[in-house]
Amino acid sequence: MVYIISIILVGIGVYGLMTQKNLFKHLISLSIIDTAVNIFIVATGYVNGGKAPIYTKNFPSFAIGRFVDPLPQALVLTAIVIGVGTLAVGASLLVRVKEKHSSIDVENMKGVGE
Amino acid sequence: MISLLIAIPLLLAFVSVMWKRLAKPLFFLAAVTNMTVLLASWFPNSVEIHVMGSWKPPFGINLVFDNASFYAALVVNFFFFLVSLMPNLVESYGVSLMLLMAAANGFVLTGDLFNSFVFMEIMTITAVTVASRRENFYNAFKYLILGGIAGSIYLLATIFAYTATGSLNMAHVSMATISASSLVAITTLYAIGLGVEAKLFPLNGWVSGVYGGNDLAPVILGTSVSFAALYMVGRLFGTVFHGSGAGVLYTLALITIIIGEVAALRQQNLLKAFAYSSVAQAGVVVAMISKGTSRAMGLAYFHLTNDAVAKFVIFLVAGFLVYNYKNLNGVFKKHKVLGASFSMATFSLVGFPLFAGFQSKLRIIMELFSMKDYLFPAVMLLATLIEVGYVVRWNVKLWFEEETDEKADNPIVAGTLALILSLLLVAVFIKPEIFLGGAMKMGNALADTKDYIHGVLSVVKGGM
Repeated sequence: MVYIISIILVGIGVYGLMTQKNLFKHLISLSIIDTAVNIFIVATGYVNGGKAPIYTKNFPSFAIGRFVDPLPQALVLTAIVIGVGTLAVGASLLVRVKEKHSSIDVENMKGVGE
Repeated sequence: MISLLIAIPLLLAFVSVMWKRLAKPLFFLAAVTNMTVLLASWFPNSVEIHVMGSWKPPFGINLVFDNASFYAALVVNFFFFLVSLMPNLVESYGVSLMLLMAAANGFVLTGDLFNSFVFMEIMTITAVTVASRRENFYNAFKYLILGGIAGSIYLLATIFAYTATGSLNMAHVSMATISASSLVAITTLYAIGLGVEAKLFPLNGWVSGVYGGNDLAPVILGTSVSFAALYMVGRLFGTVFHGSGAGVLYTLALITIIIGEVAALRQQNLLKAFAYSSVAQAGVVVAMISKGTSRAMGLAYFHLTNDAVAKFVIFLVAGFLVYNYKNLNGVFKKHKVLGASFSMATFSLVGFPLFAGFQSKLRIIMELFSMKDYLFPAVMLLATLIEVGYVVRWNVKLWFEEETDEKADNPIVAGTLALILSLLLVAVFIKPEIFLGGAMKMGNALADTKDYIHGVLSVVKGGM
C-alpha cells in the first residue's frame, strides 16, 4: 500500500513538471518526488509487527525480525535535509528570476531566449 | 590524510562565510593544500582506506584512496587550483567554489553509496550557485530541477542496491550476488541518476544554458565536476556492478555523441557551441567506459583528461571574449596569445596530429577495432568530421573576419594559463605518458574489483 502511495506521488510530481508553466510549481513537483522517494525508503525498512528500533530493557536483544530496519530511517533524515536545502536554493533563485524576468511563469517571462 | 581533501575546503568555506573578504585567499589556500596533500601521496599503487568514526567496513563510511580515486582527485583539484589563480573569475563565489571542491573530492573518494548521493547533492546545489553567476538565474533553476530529479533517482538506485544486498558499502555490494532483475533496475536507475552530471542524452538539456550563461561555470563544471561524475560512472559500472547495464550506457552514449556534435555545429553562440562539444566528448568517454575492460577504461580517462585540459583553455578564452566583446569577428588579431591557445585547444579537441586529442582518439579507435566494434569508431569518425566543421568555422571567424573597434585589455593570468595548458597538449602528443600512465593505472584500478574488495574489507582497525 505504501509503495502504491509512493508511485502515485512520483506520478503527480512528474505530471506537475511536465504540464505546469509556473516555475514555483516545478519546485513543488520536485519536492513531491523527493517526498515520494522518502516514503518509499521508509517503507523498505518496515517489518510487519516490528518494533521501533530502540534498544531498551523491554527489547534486550537484536533478534532478527523484532525491530524495523533503522538504516532507511537514518537515510531518509539525511535525504529530507538535502531536500530542504534544494528547496531553499530553488526558492531563492526564483526570487531572482522574478526580479530579472518580471514573472516566474515561463510564458510571461521577459528576456529569456535560447 | 586523504580526508583533508574534503575537510580543508569545507572548513575554510565556513570560515569565509564569516569573513567574506578572505574567501578568495582561502579558496587559493584550500586549492594549494589539496594539491600538496595529493602530490605528497602520489599514486598509492594499493587500495588504502580512511575509516570514519572507527566503524570497520562494511559498517559506517570509509574513504577509498587507490590509483583511480587518486588520479580523479588530482585532475579535479588541479582545475580548482587553476581557477583559484584567477581572482577576477572567482569574485564573490569563493565559498561556493570551496564547497564544490569539498563535494567533488568527497564524491570521488567515498566508498559508500549513500555518502556518494549526499556529496552529489552538495555538488549539484553548489554547482547551481556557480551557474547563477552573471544573473543566469533561469538556467541555474532548470539545472537545479534536473539535478534534483537525478538526485532522487540516484537515491532510489542506492536504496534498491541496499535492499538487494543489505549493504551500502561499494566493496561489499560488489561482492554480493544480485538477481538479474534487481541488477537491471539498479544499473538503469544509476545510469539516469548520473546521466545529468555526466551529460548523457536525454538528460543534458541544462548544459548549453549553464555553460553559456557565464564565464565561471563552464571552466569548472566542464572540467572538474564532469571528471568527478564520469569517474563515478566508471567506479559504479566498472568496479561495483562488473559491467552490468553497460548496454544501456553504450546506446545512450552513442546517441549523445551524435546529438552533441550536431547541436554544436548548429550553435551560433561560442560558449554554447563548445558546451555541446563537451556533451559529445562525455558521450565518447561513457561509451568507452561501458566497454568494461581496464584498457578501454584507461583510454576513456586519457581522452577525458585531454578533453578537460582543452576545454579549460577553450572556455577560459571564450568566456573572456564573450563578456568583453559584442562582436567576436577577428578578435584574435588583438589577442594573439589567447587566439593561439584557443586554436591549439580546439585542434586537440578534433584530434589533429601534433595535439593530445590525436593520441587518445587514435588509441580509442585502435582498441575498438581490436574488440571488433565497428559502430563506435564509425560514430566517432562522423563526430570528428562534424567537429572539423565547427572548429574551422569558429577559428576562421575569430582570426580572419573583419575586426571592429572594440578593445579590451589582455588578461595576463588567464592568457598565461591558457598558453601553458595548450603547450601541455602538444607535450602530451609528443610524450603521451604524461597523462596516459596515470589514466591506465586508473583504468586498471577500476576494473580490478577483487583488489578493491580486498583493500577495503581487509582493514583490521576499528569495528563494532
